[in-house]
Amino acid sequence: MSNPDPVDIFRIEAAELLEQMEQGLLDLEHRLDDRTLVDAVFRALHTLKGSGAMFGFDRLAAFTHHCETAFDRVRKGLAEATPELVSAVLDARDHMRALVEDPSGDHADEERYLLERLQAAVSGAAPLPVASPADGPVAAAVPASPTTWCIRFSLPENTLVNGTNPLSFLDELRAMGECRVVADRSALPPLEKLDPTALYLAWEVTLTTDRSRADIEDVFLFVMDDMTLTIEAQADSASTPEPGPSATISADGPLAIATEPSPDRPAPEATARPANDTADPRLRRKVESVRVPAERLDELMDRVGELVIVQSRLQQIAATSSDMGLRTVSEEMERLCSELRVTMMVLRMVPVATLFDRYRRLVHDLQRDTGKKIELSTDGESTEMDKTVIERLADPLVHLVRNAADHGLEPAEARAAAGKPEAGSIRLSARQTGGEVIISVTDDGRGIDRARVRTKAEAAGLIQPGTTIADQDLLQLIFQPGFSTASSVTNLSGRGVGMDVVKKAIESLHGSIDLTSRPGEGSTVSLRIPLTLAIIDGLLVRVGEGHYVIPLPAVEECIEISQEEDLRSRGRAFLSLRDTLVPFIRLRELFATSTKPDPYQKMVVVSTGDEHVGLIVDQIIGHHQTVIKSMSKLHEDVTAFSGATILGDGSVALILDVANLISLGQEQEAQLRAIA
Amino acid sequence: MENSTIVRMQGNLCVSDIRSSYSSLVDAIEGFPSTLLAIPTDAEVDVSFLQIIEAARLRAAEQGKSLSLLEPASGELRRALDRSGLMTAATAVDRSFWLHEETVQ
Repeated sequence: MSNPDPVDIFRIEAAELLEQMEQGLLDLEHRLDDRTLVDAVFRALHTLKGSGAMFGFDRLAAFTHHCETAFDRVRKGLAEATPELVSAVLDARDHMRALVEDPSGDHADEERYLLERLQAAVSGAAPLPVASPADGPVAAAVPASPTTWCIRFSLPENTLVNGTNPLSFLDELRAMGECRVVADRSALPPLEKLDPTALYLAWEVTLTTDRSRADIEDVFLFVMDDMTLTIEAQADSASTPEPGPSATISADGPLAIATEPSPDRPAPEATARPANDTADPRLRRKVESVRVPAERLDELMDRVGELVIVQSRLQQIAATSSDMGLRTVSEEMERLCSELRVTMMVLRMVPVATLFDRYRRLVHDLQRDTGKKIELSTDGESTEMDKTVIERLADPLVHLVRNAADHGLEPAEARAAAGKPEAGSIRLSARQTGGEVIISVTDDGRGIDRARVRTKAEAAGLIQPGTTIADQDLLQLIFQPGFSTASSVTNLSGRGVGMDVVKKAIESLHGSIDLTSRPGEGSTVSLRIPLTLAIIDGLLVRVGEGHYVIPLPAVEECIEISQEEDLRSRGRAFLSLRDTLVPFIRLRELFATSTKPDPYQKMVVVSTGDEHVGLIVDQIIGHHQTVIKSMSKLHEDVTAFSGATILGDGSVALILDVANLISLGQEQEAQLRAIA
Repeated sequence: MENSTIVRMQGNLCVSDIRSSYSSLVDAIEGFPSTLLAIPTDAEVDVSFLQIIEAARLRAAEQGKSLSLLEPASGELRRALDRSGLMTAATAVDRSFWLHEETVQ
């Protein structure tokens, strides 16, 4: 396994910083005077700039510098955070992402435009009134007359390995004023126990400067979260100490404001603590977390899958053996494999919050584009799903949120007329039920206009004029390809590509989609998604000499077909099932097995939502824990199968793509109806 | 057993290559009563190197052995010493080791 490219590592870190920045900006939009948020955004900008420069992303570093400067003014109390500034930096943040992804691209025009916006936002941001000492941290940020500071700091042992040079911090402090630096060697271990790459020295610096405490803290901005730092104004300083309390920054939390110590006694917090002290549970959690590239998790999942297959083979061999020892080992192996599989599944689980957070920005942009006030709320963010599923849900949810904003929510005047609050509501919620997670997008808009759906469907030939159709079936029509009720095409939706794409995407996840809507009250789209795609519960069947797996959640029932029924149904595409005609597909014919049918055929009724199709097979073997293997590129056009799995005897079973088979069944039904 | 050895430090004396310097130093102190360190004036030096020398000094003193610099610290080594603050509160023994300054009685 090769070591990851440092540039790739930077890209991952940059993505996280950009995410933090975006969330911070979106929060700041609602709490413009929240200094913690300003600091958080500033730190993300500062770190991105520094890391970018370190890894050769010079354009990114140069561009980010402008935003950092703007936020620095805000945090120093020289300017106010305004909606214009937040909006400009949000757009700049998107450009930073482009600079991370494509540093050599032609970004000049975009950059010029964004910097002009930033400049305008900064120029328009009024300076804050001069703060009094009682104003707290903001006042403390204003430079005062020279103060003598006693700064003690120690850095984590991995500082040097991480490429940070502590001497550069000392140089920066020296550049601020008169400085006396004393190294503390007390933590140096004996030579034979010393790790030559670790950092053991700590420092005490006496600095006389007119720079503020915040300026001193800035020196350590990159390492602030992991270090121990105390900054105290010296009581015997010849000049007036800078107003404000002493600050302690340590590994166990953000800036903590402590009461100014009495002149002759240092504050208890002033005692430097080793950076590797893991007494604090939050720090211990941090130390115990390991960042693992996603592809390595996938590799591990593949290995577990292989192990499950080998275990299955062992189980088969043991079943035919009289060797009790072998049987015992096989049973033990089965138990361990099962536990390992569960552990592996848990490793791949990530909270839905990582998905929901993305839509805050989308809704922010939608407000601007639609001119509608929208409030996004979320629920059940701690619900966990397989990371692959979450990634594949991102785009369908974008469509749904856009649809809710563009089609669902009414303009402000219409809402006022309907007695609704001015701001429309879009709610994203998640909850787990058994092996599935239900993700819902709910809006409080106008609801789906049934009459318009019917008109469009009739015009598109989806239903015959005047046909009686159940309400749920009518609503389902919006998932048909090319269907849209939007009277005008916008850049958000209304091109008729969207809901059918959503449906296909959800079905490709072996999920289903439900829609409820009340006129004048709003709509809810619910996505029912399996927790994982790596290993599924399947129904193993035989068709001819081949084995196939049908995803179990899609299976409704299994029926034995007598020889008489089989004969009666030849030349037809329907079977009567409890007075309902169910279209069916003879898989033996579809797969051209050239084998004779078994005397007693079985029909497995599968469904996606309200659509049913019977799949005629020769034998139902039973439940099978199915480790999903992707089809090769050569076979990606084969629509009847969504993947493959390896059985206990080493043979391959193809996994049926139920959604596509149902479409095929429906087409077959339509053709036969047309002929009739 | 020979009485003394000269360890000639090579390349950059930074964290990226520090393990080889560390090994040479440990071997020399374990194997010889007296060790002399030859440090190139233009070698890049960082805190990791200063730390192993400081630890080696303590080790040698504990074992009653001698460890010294072949030449007083100069060039990059001197610069790193000053930047690190190791010389700010240096004792006479420290100054003698690093700068070969004579103790005035």
